[in-house]
Amino acid sequence: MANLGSLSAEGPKLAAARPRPQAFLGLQLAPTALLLALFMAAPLAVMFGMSFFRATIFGLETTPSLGNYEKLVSDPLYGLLLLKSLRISLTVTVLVLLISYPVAYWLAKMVTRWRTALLLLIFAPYWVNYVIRTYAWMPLLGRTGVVNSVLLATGVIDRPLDMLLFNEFSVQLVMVYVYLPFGIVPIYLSLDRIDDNLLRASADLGASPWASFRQVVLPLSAPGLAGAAMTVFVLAIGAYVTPRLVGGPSGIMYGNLIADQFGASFNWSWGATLSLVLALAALAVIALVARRVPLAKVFLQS
Amino acid sequence: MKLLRRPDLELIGIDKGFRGKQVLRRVSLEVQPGEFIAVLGPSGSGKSTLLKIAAGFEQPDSGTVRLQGEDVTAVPPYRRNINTVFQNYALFPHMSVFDNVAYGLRRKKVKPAEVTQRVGEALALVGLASFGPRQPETLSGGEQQRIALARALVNRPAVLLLDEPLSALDLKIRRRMQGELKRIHEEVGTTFLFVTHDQEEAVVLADRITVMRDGGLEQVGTAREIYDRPATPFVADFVGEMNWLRGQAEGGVARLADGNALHLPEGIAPPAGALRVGVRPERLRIAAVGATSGARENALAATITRITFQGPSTVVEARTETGEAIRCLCGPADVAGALLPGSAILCLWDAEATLVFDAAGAENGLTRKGELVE
Repeated sequence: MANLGSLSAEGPKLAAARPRPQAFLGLQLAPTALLLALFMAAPLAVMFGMSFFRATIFGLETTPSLGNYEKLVSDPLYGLLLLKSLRISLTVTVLVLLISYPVAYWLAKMVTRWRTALLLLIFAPYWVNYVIRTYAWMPLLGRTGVVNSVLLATGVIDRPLDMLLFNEFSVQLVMVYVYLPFGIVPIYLSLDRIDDNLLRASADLGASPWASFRQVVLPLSAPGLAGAAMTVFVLAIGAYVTPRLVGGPSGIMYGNLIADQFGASFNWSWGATLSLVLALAALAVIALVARRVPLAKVFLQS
Repeated sequence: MKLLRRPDLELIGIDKGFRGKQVLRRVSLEVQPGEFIAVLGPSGSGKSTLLKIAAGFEQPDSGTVRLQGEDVTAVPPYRRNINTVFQNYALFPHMSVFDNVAYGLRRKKVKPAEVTQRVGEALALVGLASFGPRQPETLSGGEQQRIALARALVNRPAVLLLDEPLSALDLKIRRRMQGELKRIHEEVGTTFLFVTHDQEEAVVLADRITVMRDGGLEQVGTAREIYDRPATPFVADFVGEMNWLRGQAEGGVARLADGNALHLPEGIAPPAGALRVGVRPERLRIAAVGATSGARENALAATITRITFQGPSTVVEARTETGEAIRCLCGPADVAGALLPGSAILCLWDAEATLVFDAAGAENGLTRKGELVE
């Protein structure tokens, strides 16, 4: 929502650059407004309305009630699961950023030849469907998997480790792997945009390489970092395939709970309620990020 | 002025190649304290690389860089007492004007009170005293240029390097900034090394000009020396305009294509063989056919092909009897109303205005082997 405000703030500027009647501005914005209304506002409204319904064995009971919200606050399980999902998503986001930044920096500032080829190589594994990429971790992390076999063979351990798969650890590990490109790309783009002369200028003015990095590179790549953080976080908070496949009982996330309401339990109104909670939680985190980095800079880098 | 004083910047025998291509070959240059020196050359002549080596952004393959007598060849840029004004200004977009200018002082841990004072002085020097709180993106090109200058000069560098600093500005602002640069140079007395491809800019601004070509120094001298006594046909063509005429020398006598003997400046004997004879357009004088030339004047018969009135001056283009095109820059007094395209005229010029190069190795009218014979 916050980005909508800053996006429309660009409107008057455009109009000022090319003098046009005000009515034309409305026309220019109409397609975007229509798309947003159709594909964002309307589904949200449907979800919001549905959260006041109740599922019965005869189908949806459409008399409005607060039953779903009572259920939400009466059982601490839902709050705890949300907190756990937030914790996992934040951990995954931080890890993705920590790995992405050096990779993106290396690509944008240190590689001079074959950059496109290297970028393609980095992303080559991601052309494979991500369910398969997630499954691929099972023979790596399982009881008889590659990691256990190697550790057993080298005598580091004398019986297979169970802690590698079907828990929170494996969920985080696989999510970090799956979301890595969403971290690398925005950071790479923001670093690539930094004029090399700015780095020369800071060196010229007496800044050591580390000072140059802290005072010039890092602040100027902040929009890319924020974009990467938000993308990865939003993807992670809604994840349900990865926890389902490699999470086991302890690695379950909020997304699984929601998915169940639309699948096995067939309780759409309860699912809608849970979805709204998740959307609000994600929005709250994005709002926190937006307080540090203006969203206009993240999405409209000039 | 050259005597006794130690040069501020010495580049000694600098060689530099990139991926097998030689960009600089044995370039040596001394810059005297307080001097405003221009490195002039077309793009690809290596002048920007030379500046990067002086600043420390590039390492020479061989050679030495000395700053105020001290060998700084291996010293990284952030430990050199030298500052650069970049072609695109390279102001930090995420900092205010004040923070940009204060950046170098803060890296040197100068006390905040002194930072404020010196930044204020630097901004006043470039005439933008009230601009401290502004963001760079709100400034015009000329203003950004001045801030870049203030940001460099506030550090009181031994040498200030300027990399085509005016090339991104439009003509009018460029003219004004030229005057500003000159004034600031006189005010602070810092040594300026200025890289440009604009010969007019170099002539207007610099005490001395270094002309570069293909990674080598072609000539070093004052603007007047370079203009009046170019060392090579390349320099003659690059700085100002030149009429080139074919000639031939035999037994110490030079002749133009029409067979007439050529008067040369005192003490200059032409090399034997084919010659390239150069005369600046403004040194040519137009006279009526049959006019008598002075004892030390050269004369060439020609037919006017075009007359272009340019306000303060008039360009008369003509073709000689041997088919060579010449341009003559005339003042209002030189062009009588009778001159019309098709008129036969006599072009006269002083022996002292005659340049002679041997034509050996001449290619497409340009040669680096050609040498002024003195």
